[in-house]
Amino acid sequence: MLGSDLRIRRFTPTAERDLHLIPSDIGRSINDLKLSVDVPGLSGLVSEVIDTLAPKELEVRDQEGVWYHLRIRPYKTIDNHIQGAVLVWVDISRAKRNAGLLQDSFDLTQAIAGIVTSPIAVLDEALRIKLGNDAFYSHFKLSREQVVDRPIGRLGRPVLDMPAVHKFLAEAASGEGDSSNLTVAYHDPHITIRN
Amino acid sequence: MVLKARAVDQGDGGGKLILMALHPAKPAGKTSN
Repeated sequence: MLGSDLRIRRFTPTAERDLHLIPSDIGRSINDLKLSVDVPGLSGLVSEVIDTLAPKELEVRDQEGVWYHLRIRPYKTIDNHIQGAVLVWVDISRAKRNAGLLQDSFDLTQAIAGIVTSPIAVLDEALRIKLGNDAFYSHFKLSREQVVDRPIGRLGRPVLDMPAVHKFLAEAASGEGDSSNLTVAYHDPHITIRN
Repeated sequence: MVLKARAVDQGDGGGKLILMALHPAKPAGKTSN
């Protein structure tokens, strides 16, 4: 917590550890401190929050590559006087890493699907299409924008709206059913269903 | 066409994803599994 003069009033043991603060830093201005996390223009940001009362949030990284979500909000006393600002640092490295892995997996899946010549799509449990490959879009004569995040039954392709198809996919999702294949016969995937 | 589907658990409460693929059906007269 910083006073309106941008001097440190107090900090938690976690802040002491993560930001490499020491007890004698209390009373010092953040302009005079070398924090382990470099936040360009930190004092200006804090002053702005105190002046405007509008909290700020940003993501910053320390010298060891640890990412933090930094939230700066005005510090109000119980009688609503502004006495400075509170800075909350939350370690988001794991979330950042997981998001990166997820994106990598998605990119890999998309790359694999892209070289397969059979129509392929990935759906969520509500049967909304999350991803299709080029063969899928081409087979159903639809663009990616017409497909992604839309329910499979609302693509205007009757074969994809067949109750048997929905039942089959729902059973695949739930692990029910005794077959992993369903034969669907049609002439044209975007016009006619034979049966 | 033959529709194939497999469910993939995303873990950590992320629900499941369903992978679906369409393949040409084998011509009549051929044996099929």
